[in-house]
Parts: sequence; structure tokens; C-alpha cells
Amino acid sequence: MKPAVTLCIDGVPLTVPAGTTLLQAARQKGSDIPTLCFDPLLEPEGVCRLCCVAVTGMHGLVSACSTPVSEGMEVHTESAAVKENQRFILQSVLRNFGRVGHDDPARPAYETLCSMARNAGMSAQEVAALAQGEAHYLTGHDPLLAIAPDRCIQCNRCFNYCEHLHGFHPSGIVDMGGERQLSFAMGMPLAEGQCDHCGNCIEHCPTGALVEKWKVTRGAPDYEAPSICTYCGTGCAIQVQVKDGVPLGAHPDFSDTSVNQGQLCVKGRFGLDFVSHPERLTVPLLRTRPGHTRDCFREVSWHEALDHVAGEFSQIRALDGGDKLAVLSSARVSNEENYLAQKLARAVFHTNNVDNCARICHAPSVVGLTAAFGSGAATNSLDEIDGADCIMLIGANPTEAHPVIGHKIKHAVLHNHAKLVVIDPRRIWLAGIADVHLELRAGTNIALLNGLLRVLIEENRLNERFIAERTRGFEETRERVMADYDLARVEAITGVDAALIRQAARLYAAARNGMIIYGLGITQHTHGSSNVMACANLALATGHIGRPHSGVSPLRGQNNVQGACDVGALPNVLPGYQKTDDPAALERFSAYWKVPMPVTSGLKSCQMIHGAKNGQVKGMYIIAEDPVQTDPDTHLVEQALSNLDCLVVQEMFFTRTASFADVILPAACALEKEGTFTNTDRRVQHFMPVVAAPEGCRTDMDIICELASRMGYPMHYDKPAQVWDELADLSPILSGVRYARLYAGEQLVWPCRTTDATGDRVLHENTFAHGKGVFHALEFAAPEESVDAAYPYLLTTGRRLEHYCNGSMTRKTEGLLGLYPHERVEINPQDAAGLGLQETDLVWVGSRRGRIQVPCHLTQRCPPGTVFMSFHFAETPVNELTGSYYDPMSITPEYKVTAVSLAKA
Amino acid sequence: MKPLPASFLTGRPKIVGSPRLYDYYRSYPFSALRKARNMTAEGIVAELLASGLRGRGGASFPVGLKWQSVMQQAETVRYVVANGEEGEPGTYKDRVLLEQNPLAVIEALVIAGCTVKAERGYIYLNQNYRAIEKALLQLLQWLREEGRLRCVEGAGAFDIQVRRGRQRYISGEETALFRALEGRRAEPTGRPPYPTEQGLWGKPTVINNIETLASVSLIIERGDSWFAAIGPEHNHGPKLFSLSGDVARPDVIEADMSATLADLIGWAGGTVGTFKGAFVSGPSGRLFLPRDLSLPLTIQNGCGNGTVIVFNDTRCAVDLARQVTDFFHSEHCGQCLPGRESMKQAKALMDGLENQAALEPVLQHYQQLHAVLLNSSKCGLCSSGTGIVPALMQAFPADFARHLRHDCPICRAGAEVAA
Ligand SMILES: Cc1cc2nc3c(=O)[nH]c(=O)nc-3n(C[C@H](O)[C@H](O)[C@H](O)COP(=O)(O)O)c2cc1C
Ligand code: SF4
Ligand code: SF4
Ligand code: SF4
Ligand code: FES
Repeated sequence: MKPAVTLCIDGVPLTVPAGTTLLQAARQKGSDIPTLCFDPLLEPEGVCRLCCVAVTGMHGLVSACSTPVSEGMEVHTESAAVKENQRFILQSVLRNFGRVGHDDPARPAYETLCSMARNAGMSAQEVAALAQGEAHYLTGHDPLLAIAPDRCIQCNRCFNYCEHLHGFHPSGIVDMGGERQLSFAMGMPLAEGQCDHCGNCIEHCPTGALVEKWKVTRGAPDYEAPSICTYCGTGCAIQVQVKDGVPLGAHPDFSDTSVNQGQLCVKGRFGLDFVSHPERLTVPLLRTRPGHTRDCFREVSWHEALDHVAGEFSQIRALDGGDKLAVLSSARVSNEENYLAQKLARAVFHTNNVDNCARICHAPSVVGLTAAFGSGAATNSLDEIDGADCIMLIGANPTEAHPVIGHKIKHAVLHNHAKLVVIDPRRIWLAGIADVHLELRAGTNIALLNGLLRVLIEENRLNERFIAERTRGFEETRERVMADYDLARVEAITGVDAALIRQAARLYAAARNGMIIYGLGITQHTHGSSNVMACANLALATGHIGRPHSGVSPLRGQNNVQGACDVGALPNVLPGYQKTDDPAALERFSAYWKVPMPVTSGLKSCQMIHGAKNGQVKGMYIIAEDPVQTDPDTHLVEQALSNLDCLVVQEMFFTRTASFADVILPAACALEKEGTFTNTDRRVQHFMPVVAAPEGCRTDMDIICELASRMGYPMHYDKPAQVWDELADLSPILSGVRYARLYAGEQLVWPCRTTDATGDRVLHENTFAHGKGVFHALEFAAPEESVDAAYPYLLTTGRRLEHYCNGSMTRKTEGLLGLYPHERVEINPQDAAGLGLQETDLVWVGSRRGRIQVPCHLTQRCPPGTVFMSFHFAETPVNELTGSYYDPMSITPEYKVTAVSLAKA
Repeated sequence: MKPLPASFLTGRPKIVGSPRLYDYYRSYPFSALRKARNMTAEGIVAELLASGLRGRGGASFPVGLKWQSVMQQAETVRYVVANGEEGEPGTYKDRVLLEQNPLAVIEALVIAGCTVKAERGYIYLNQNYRAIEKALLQLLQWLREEGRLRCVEGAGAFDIQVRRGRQRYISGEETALFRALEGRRAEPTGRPPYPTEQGLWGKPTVINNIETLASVSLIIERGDSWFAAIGPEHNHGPKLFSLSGDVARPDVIEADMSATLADLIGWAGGTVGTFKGAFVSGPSGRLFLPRDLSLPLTIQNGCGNGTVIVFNDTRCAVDLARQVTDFFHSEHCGQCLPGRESMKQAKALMDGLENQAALEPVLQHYQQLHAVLLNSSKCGLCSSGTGIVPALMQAFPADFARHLRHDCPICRAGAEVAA
């Protein structure tokens, strides 16, 4: 406790801890001191001088935001000199402001300034008279942000906040005196590589000088409405800004209970143009002739389309059996819709052939974490990242793929003294602030993780008590690790210096709270499930699990990966992870749905594709997915889809997959419907429609119900809440979550079994879901693909900050496309020199399956021997290169290791 | 005319740039340092307090109190800094002092370092003081080699670094100077915390003017009572004055603070032409008029850093006011809102003078700017730069009236010469 100081503010005595500023003390007392440059998150800059107050015995005024209290101080916040100073400052600001029209993006800030001016004693007329001349926003030097130099008061809150949030320095201060200005306000672009265009700085500008460019070019929004961002599994709460029925952008939710607490990333804030894009599908399309162009289809009525689909599917069901049908549901549609999709498969098609795209990303998490901990989900909430004192980040690049989680990690490291260990073949941004970066050879995770465990064992850094009381299987694991994973061998396999491995293990073991956060660099491997178990081993060995800030958290890629799995859009589990071979569960579902339940085991998505190729699947219903672009080995997928008797694709756009369909059904997007999504930390979040769907589009829920009914199983729900109730009634882990509670703003995570519980944010606190935590003795095996003389480089794939998935949404936003217009293959300059490549040269990238042409980008982010590409661009379809190798336990494909050749084009 | 008092700080041959630097180094007695070695830190501070020495950089803060305050800080990493920015127009006393007796400053900085237990000292110089920098670096090298850069010979690590600034008036302001040393923009940071609490690199820091430090060496060498005996009550010790403008022999004059303006002008060979006024402590200081010639240049009368710029009756007050306004307009840092806005308005007032109907509103506006700045600006630069212009308006309304009538022969002639 700091010693207390007693002072007097406007005659009222007050006792506060030493070190409190006058501003804090005054606000505590209820005095309203106006401020502009002060920002509660930042060190006081003390430059606007609006907060100046008088202190008895002091010459002049002092700035309240930066002056600490001292004993016996007598502070006056309302004296004549104080008011006079406020008037001078506000007059100056308002005089520079220019006229403020109705549509002016700075209108809210202007109104605040005016009310401050009136409080300082100016009349409304005086205030109004100050605004003269035109304000001018510079819109030419940044694709997404605009700034009005005359309105900028040079408080630098914007870019100081950026430094606080990101550790970036995107803009500097240039010149001095009357010419002093922010470089950005002088028309200089933001420093390349130092601005993510998250737009979070905008919220910190007190004058509205810095705004989203669309607010200048399109004008102020008519209204805003809440929703949930759909660009990744973080689940940021947003306020969508709508003008003339068109969503133009989003603001973050600022509440402390939200996931994102006032932050967003570039996609979430700016990437909404796709909603109103002219290429949206708005009429059902029926194939008239073979081919992959739009003119191979004719527009039909919903009636005709649905009848056609129902007819085709019914016929297959009748002639070949339900198991010849398959539903590929989507991690991009709501929980309710996923529930209905699996119900359609199970109750209407009579098959367990239902899966969702989690298969190609996080199915190994479900397998691996369930094996180790008894539950396949993240063990902790995202809020707990801040507070962990060691974060081990493995195979994830959150600053691009999950930027708001990236912010949380940055905050923990930059402001909360967390140690950071990064395990990744690439020098991702966070590696730059890491304490240790283990730059392993792609695909050697198990060896490395075993090596880390080996250090813990060798150096006696185990949590013996935890191992004894709460786990089993350690001995076998210990033997395996001690027998085969001495650090010399680990170093030889992984290419990581043994000393660094030791250092990393020590940091993790020494932490009070250690958190493992991993991404697709763990799962998208032929040993994905084992990789996950290897992570779990480390947590079990150190006891870093089952407490706040300690655990193992996968970062879910798509917005509803978690939810799609939770509600049973998986071949082997029913809603709520009830097993498809559990007779009691089957009984209950059968009774509720009033149909016999399918008993044959279902196909996983990649098996569906193979099944389509070999005739095991004849009809497929794909909801909001684009496997042609996003699944590995594109040629195989294309052959498979072409081989189907009936392919139905439900989509917003004419994607590559849609071009293979027999029927394309135009769907509404998340902003046009009601439902819930479950984010990566198991939080069930509700959303309402923000705008009306384009005439002709229908919600996925609507379409599924119509289809079921036409296939002889009447399915009718008035609203998503009814679907939810059914699903919650049938799923014990979700039964406490109800719409009424979500409407009331409650933040609920599963497991949540009763309506008075808010769910377990931390899993496995006293016991694991299946009793004891299980160690797995794991053996490293080299990836299926290995480099040789013909294919000497390793290609690894992933996401870009500005884009998402197949690009169908982000590439419809001009600003995002402007930031990252086309794909580039990242190559280490050393490799490039050997190949005679210069920046932007075209390169042939070839694998054992195909070759594509793409410009190159030379960067140290890739170590020599490794190249990197994203899969967002149909023009450079990287999955034509990737292979069809799968993790045997989860049937998740290998995306991270492909041997390739490079040649100058 | 009073006789010129004896010199203690100056009066030696210029040693910087001369080939005899090594001789100077060898023959320098280091008497102060030797004495200081046998004194406690408390003893040194007591001596400084008793001497009555106040800072010579302009703000006249008691030196002993400043050092004492640093000694009392809990933080043990501390710095000592010599401020040789000397960016104020007409100020060049520190340059002369450094050219003649650089070791006095180094000696005092070592004493300061020992007293407040700093590990590192810095000497920050005006950009143009290239030759001085060279000499200082050489002297420091010799001292280092002989292990003499410390109080107790051979003991603990203390070192002094020399830096040259970027010819910015604002970088003489102590907090801006720290930022410049740290490699950041030379812009003032708020007070509190004071430099004695969080100065350079956020650590407790003693910062003193060059002349102040040279005076410290004198006090330690000759004793506090010797020092206190010089000059009037509350204004002890020898003081350097930089005389410039319309005087016959512009020079740095060492006197004490009983010297009147007339004395100083006399020692500088008298006014060239008829005395019209003087800026005492430079353009950021106070306007002295003929009636003030007999005022002693004490701290209370505003001697400040001791700069005296004399002008005669061939000068137009409007021209002077414009020069002062332009100087501060281009030299203020621009970070704080009242500073930036006031300087903009002040410049607009002076640039647009000829379009005004009467002087009174201009005067009032300028005074209001000055008042706002005194109240709320972040540092002292802009407020000190807006004080003298209203004084010029009040003292020489006729000059301003000529400009309102578009009829100033002096400025027109000046403009013709310039063209
Ligand atoms: C705008 C401004 C410029 C200054 N320039 C100088 C300078 O050039 N040299 C100097 O010694 N002090 C200068 N000062 C005063 C310093 O801030 C500081 O008070 C001084 O270095 C302390 O030393 P002293 O106590 O020995 O005088 C300046 C102050 C202001 C506000
Ligand atoms: S948009 Fe984001 S990254 Fe760019 S300057 Fe603003 S806060 Fe920084
Ligand atoms: S743009 Fe806004 S936040 Fe940034 S410095 Fe200017 S006024 Fe401050
Ligand atoms: S008063 Fe002037 S020089 Fe000082 S901080 Fe403000 S603008 Fe800068
Ligand atoms: S809010 Fe205190 S100076 Fe700006």
C-alpha cells in the first residue's frame, strides 16, 4: 500500500494514495476536469494543457493529468484562470476545426468539444462562430485511414497507443514550432511493416482528426448494430456501421466483458464490403451444361431449386442408402445451422456422414486434447493470457491470423513481464519480442516437444506432485523420452540449438502460470493429433493446467470452429460431444427427433472427398465452404466433386467449389441473420441481423429446414431460439445456455449445465473431464514429404493479416485488397540469391503434384530452405501443390510441409 | 566609471585551439578536486549552500539545494550534466569560459559526480562549439588515462561524455536537453517530476550551467566565505555578462551583481550612438530603458543568464519586436497547444501590424497570449518569449504608430539595404 496523501480539491478534503494524479483524485471526487491529450492507457503526454488547474501557492497553473498529489495541496478546478485557459485552448482547437457538416466524420468529437467549451463559459453562439473554413481530410496516402491535419492537435495519442498496443512506430513527429506535425498528417504514409491497419488508433483520437477513410468518402453512418466478427475464432464483438442499408465498417465493442475490449483487426473493422458486393449470389442456380463458368447455370426459383435438390437427394437415399449422401457443414455458419445440418444428415439423410471444416484445421485438437484431458477445447479464457508469466506459442502466427489475440499476447509480454517462447519455423513478428525463438524445421514438432520434456526430466523441473496426484502414463513417456530424445538427437532432427531448447524449457518450468497457445502449425500435420498430445505432455509435466492463466489453448481458425464441433457437425459425435456409439444418447436423440438414428460410422470430410472420387459418396451438400481452394491437392478435389451425381453448394459467391455444383443456393451472411457463434474460448455469443439480406437470399437455417421438409421430414422453427433450445435440451454441456440469458448480455462459456451457472472459464480445475490427465509416449516420424534433389525446399502455408480463407470476403473490400493485392511466395534472401531471384520476380513453385507461378518476396521471416505462401488467392492456388497426407487419428491433412522446387519464371 | 573588478572565472588566454593545451593540462592545479577529496558529500553541499551560489543558466536556483535533492533520492543510478547549449541570442559567456578554462568545468563535474554518487557525467554543447568539444575530448582522454576522472584517485568508475546539440534554443531547456541526450526529439517533458527526481533516462540528475559549474570549482578551492563576500546580498559571487549590440567593444565582462547597466556598458566601451534600451537576459528577458541604466543587474532585477543586448536610437522597436517574435516562433518546439497556438497568433499579430487600426488591441492580445502561456504552457520558452514585445509596445508607442501609418523610415531604409 502506498502512503496516503490528504489534499483539498475545490474546498473538499480528500485522501488518496501517494502517486495519484490530480486528475485521478479530482475524478474520484466527482469533479469533471476536461482533457484532450490524456489517455488512461498511456503515459501522460501533457501537451494540450486543457486539464490545467490552479494550486494555491503555485505560480501559473499545473496540468492535472501529469501532476501527482502532494500533502496539503489546495487545488482549484473552477477558478477564473482555469476557465480562461480552457476557453483559450478550446477556442484554438475549434477555430482550426473548420465547419462541421451533418455527415462530418468528426461530428461526435466536435460535439464533445463544444460542450467542453460551453462548460468553460462560452456561449453557444460564440462556439458556433468559431467554426469557419473547410476542414480537409487527406485520403490519398493510406488505403483505409484518413486524417485532417488542421484538426489534429498533435497529442500523439493515436500513435502512442499504437506503440502501446503493437510496439510499432508507424508515424513520427516532424519539424518544430508552427510547422510541427505528425508525419501522417503531413501526407507521409504509415511506416511499412509498422502498421497493421487495425484502426485502433482511431478510437484514441480526441478530435476526430484521424478517421476511417470510408467515413470521409461515404459519410457518417445512419445507425450501428451489434454483431460478432466472423473473421477468426477470437469472436470479437462489433458494432456494425450501416449507411443506406450497407454495412461500411465496424467499431469494436468497448465493454470490459467483451472478448476484444475495444480492439479490432483490419479485417473486422474494414472488411465488410463483401456484404453489399454486386457479385453476391441472389438467385438459385441450376446447372444446364458441363463447365465451370457462370453461364453453365440458369437462374431458377427457390421452389424449383429446392425441389430439384430434394428430388436428387431423396433418390440417392432411396436407391443407394443414406450413407451415399454427405453433408459438409461449415465453421462459418451459426451453431443453430450446424445443428440443423447434422440433424439433416442424421435424421433426414440417415447417415453420420457429416463434418465441418474443423477437419482441415483443428480436428487433431479435439482428438489430442480429449485423449490427454478428456475435453477437446481450450482450457482457459482469452482474458487469462494477460497474467500468464510464460507463454509458449507454437505453430501460430496470431498477430496475423488472430490479431486481437496477438494484441493480448503482446500486452502480456510488453506490459506484464510475461516470458515468451516462440516455436515456429518462421520469424513471425512475435518472435521479435520473444525471449527464445526455436526455429525448428517444419514438421519436427514431436522431436522438439519431447526434447523440451527431456530437459524438464533431466533438470528435475517436473511438478512431481501434480504428476503423482493428477496424471497417469508418465513412466512410459519418461522412458521413451529418456531413451530416444537426448538433446543431441533432437538438435539433429529439429535444427534447433540444444542450448535454446534448454532455455525454453526452463522458462516454461519456472513460470508460476504457463500457457501453451498453439495453432495450425501443430495440427495441420500428418502427426497433428500426436503434436497436440505432445503439448499436453508439457502442461501435465509442469502442472501448468487447471488453474487460471495456466493451460493449453488452440487458436481456432474460423469463427465458429468451436461451435460447429460442439453442436455435433462431426461424424463421430452428436451434439455436446455425445458419442455416436453411446446407446443412451442415441436413444434420447431418436426419441426427440422421432427417427431411428444412423448406426454406421460417418465419413470425415477428407474421406468424403475420396469417397466422392471412388463412388462411395454420390450426393454432397456443401454449406459455405470452398474445398477446391482450401483443401489440399486441388486436382484430387476437383476430380472428386466432378464425379458426384449431385453436388449442392450453399454460398454467397460463385466460388471455385460452387462452379462444380449442380445446384447453387444463395445464402444470407451472418450480418443478415440471427444466431450464435462459439469462439475459441468456448464463449457462446449471440447476434441479431444488422441489415436485411439481399432479395433472393435465404438463411442457411431456412434452406436446411425447407430441404428437410421436402425430403419428407417436416422441420420447422419460428426462430433460431427454438433450434437452440432443442440443441441445449439435448446437450448437457450446453443446457444452461439460453437465449434469454444471452439477450440479457450475459457472457456464457460452456460447460454450462444449469441456468444459474455462467460456465467454466478454466477447465480441469480439480479433476480432468475423464479423471486423470493422460501422458502419451510419442514417437517422432519424419513428415511424409521430404526434400530431395528435385524438390529441395520446404513449403509451409498459412494466413495473411489482410485476408481470410478463400478470400471471397476480404478480396471484396477494396482497402484490404489495396494492402495486400496478390499473393507472393516468401523466400529467404540467401535462397533467392542462389536462384538469381530479385524482389517481385516471378517464380515457378512446383511440387510432386503441380506447379504454380507467383511473384516472390524476399524476407528474413523465412529461414533458408523454407518458403511460405497463403491460400487466399484463387489465382495462385497453393493447394495445387500440397499433398494428400493425413493425420491418421483425425484425418486432418498436412498443409505445413510440402517439398517444392523453385525456378525463376 | 567604476573600476572593473578582478576576474576569477575568465581573464585567461584562450586555450582551446591553441597548441599549448597540454601545458595547460599539466599546469592545472586541480586544487578544488584535491580539496574535495578530503570532504564529505554533505560537507560539499554545505559549502555550496553557504556560498549562496545560484544557477547561472537563467533560473537562478540555489545550487546546493539542487545537489542535495538528488542525494536524497532513493534511486541510486544518477547523472550529472553540464548545460552548454547557450542558444539564447547574444549569449556567449559559456563559450568564452570554456575556451579559457575548460578544466574548471570538468573539475566541477567530477566533484558533482562524487557528491551525488553519479557514475556518468555529460557535457552538452552548442552545435557550433566544435573546437571546444575537441579540446574537452582531449582533456578527458588525458584525465582518463591517468585515472584522474574521479574524486578518489583510482576509485570507482566515473566518466564524462561530450555531446554537441542541434543548434536549437529549446534544447537548452533542461528536460529537452535530456531528451536530446537520449536520442529523442529535443522537446521539454512536464514537471513534476523534476530533473532532480527523474531527469536523464528517468534517473535523478544534477544539471547545471557551465558558468555555475566553474563557480563551484572556485567555491571549493577558495571557500564559501570568499565567494559570499563578492557581490550584494542574495547575489553572491562573480558573474559573467555577455555584452552585445550597439556597444563599442562587445565582449564577455566578468563583474559582480552590483554592477549597473551603465557600468557594464561603460566597461564595454560605451553605447554607440544614443542608448535607447537593452534586453537584459536576452530577448527572453527584460527590457531596460534609459531610466533603468543605474539599476544593478541583480537576480531580482532580472540579470538571468547575464546577457545584455544594447540598442541605440537608430533601431526601430517594431523591427526588434518582429525579430524577437520570429525567433521564438521558429525556435519553440510546438508540442504544447497553448505554446503552438500562441506563437502562431503572436506572429500573425506582428506580421499583420500594418493592417491594424490601433495599437491598443494588438497590445492587449499579445499580453493575453503572454498571460495564457505563463499560466499553462508546458515549459518556459514560449512565455519568456512573449514578455518583451508588449514591453516594447508600451515603451515605444511612437515606433509602432509609424508602422500603423505605413511610414517607418528606419525599416524602409533597412528593407532597401537588404534588397
Ligand atoms: C527555453 C529555455 C532555454 C534554456 N537554455 C539554457 C541554456 O542554453 N543554457 C543553460 O545553462 N540553461 C538554459 N536553460 C535553463 C535550464 O533549463 C536549466 O535551468 C539550467 O541548465 C540549470 O542550470 P543552473 O541551475 O546552473 O542555471 C534554458 C531554459 C529554458 C526554459
Ligand atoms: S491502424 Fe493499428 S497498427 Fe496502424 S497505426 Fe493505427 S493502431 Fe497502429
Ligand atoms: S490524429 Fe488525433 S490522436 Fe493523433 S495526434 Fe492528431 S489529434 Fe491526437
Ligand atoms: S511552451 Fe513552447 S517551447 Fe515549451 S513546450 Fe510549449 S510549445 Fe514547446
Ligand atoms: S489532458 Fe493534461 S495536458 Fe492534455
